[in-house]
Amino acid sequence: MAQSKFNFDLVIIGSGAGGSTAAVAAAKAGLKTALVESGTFGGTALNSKDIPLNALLQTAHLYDQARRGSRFGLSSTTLRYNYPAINHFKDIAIKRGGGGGNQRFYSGLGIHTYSGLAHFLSPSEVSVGGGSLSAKHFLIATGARFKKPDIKNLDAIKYLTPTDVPNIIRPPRSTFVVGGGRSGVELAQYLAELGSKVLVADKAARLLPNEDEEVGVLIGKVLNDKYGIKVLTKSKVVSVTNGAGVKKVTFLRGGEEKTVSVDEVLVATGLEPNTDLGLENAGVAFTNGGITVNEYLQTSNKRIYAVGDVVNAHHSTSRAMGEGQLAVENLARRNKLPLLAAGIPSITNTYPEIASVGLTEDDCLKRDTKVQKSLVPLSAVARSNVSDFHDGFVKIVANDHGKILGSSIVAPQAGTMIHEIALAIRHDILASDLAEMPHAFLSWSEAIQIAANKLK
Amino acid sequence: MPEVTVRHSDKKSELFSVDKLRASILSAALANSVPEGQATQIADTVTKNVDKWLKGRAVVTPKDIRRVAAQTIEPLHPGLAFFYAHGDRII
Repeated sequence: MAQSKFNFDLVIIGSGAGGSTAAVAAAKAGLKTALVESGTFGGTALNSKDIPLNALLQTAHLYDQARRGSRFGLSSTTLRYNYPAINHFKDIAIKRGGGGGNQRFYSGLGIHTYSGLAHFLSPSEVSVGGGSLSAKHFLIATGARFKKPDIKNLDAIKYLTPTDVPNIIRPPRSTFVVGGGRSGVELAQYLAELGSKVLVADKAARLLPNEDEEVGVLIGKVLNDKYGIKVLTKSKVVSVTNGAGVKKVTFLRGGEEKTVSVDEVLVATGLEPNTDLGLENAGVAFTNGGITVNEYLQTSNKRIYAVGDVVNAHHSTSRAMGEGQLAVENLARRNKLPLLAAGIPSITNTYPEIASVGLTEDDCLKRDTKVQKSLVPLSAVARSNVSDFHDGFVKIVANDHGKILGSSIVAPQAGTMIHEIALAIRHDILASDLAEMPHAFLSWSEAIQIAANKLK
Repeated sequence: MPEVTVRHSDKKSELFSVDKLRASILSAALANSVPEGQATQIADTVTKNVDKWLKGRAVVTPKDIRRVAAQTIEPLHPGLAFFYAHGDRII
């Protein structure tokens, strides 16, 4: 029998959300698989982003909700937090999630693991450490890294990025958050809940500029009114300097330059894909925005696939996981399946949560798609009364025939509620079908039924 | 710094030499009528950047080094960068 000229059927570069999912799928499919990781096995989602940050966020939200319990007859005058204990819980969450270096998990599935920086030498070979690996197929899941914004003197000060926050030993007394996207907004609220005086600045006209307009406007109001966060929209941070024990941030707003002094600066302005792995040697095309892939997740070299943040740094962890699974399925089959990106939800873990799926109203306008929309405030449902929670809404966008195109939800359980709409989008369920379906009394999801009912 | 191997397309390998890179950049710069002082500056910057880029990598190709060198030269001397990016051999 002829021996394979390759060491492996598949080499996966990166063990984060996309790579990890792909590795498990490949092992289950019986492929001889190697997994290469240059950092901690498990990637950023498990070790420094999603899991640890969300453990911290949930703790802070719980603390904040407890402090505001007096309206329900709960007393919180002696309530306080212990930050080392909060960090300890976060570490437990990482460990339980399989993070902190879970190489043995993969080895246990028969996956060969390698620590080191992978670098393509040719379309069928990568160097790792002192050796090289050859494979019939490759899957690139190297993710994205912090992209330093153009702020004068930024290198002269010590600043935090979102992945540094799980390692701080106490919340700063005051924080300037640069960037009003998902990470910026989550962390601004987190720090404010634990007592930091927070300012958050973004160049856009609202926070969360990639979400529906009503989301950004509402969250800006909630952060300002309920958490005392100073929201600086249409503001560009131009420079930072070290002061006497403080950091001075200068920003441009309304044509005026202003300077504030804070204890910490948190830069949450975005990511850039990790494409520096010799892609040119493998014939893989890429741009500053990421690796170019087709609908089957193949790169310009059809034997090499790419998934996750390295394709587009704005994509969610859940999308990366779905792509990892699909890429492995596709490399094994002749009739490949396209990625159904439309029904993949994303969540912002503020309180209230923000969840969205499909197209925003702006997306539809840009495509000249005629739409109808409905927006129902949460105060319209009975649950709002018993929870004494009134900020939030369900918004659904549909075409003229009632086919749901997208939705945004701001609600305490938005991250769970959104899946009903995601299912509707993926399976062409009409708004009228959602409206007809009974929704449990006193559930937040009653707002979805009401919103769907308003659409033709 | 751990040694880095440069693998050529004919599978032959050699150890990366920062002195060899520096000499080749100097020679290319002078051949392109770059003044000596500027040529030395460019060579210093490129070797520093390539050295930094090589950290963590064990094996690279000559094309990789040429590419990183050209990217470093580009803001300093676009003409030289073009020559370097499209030159036959730099090592």
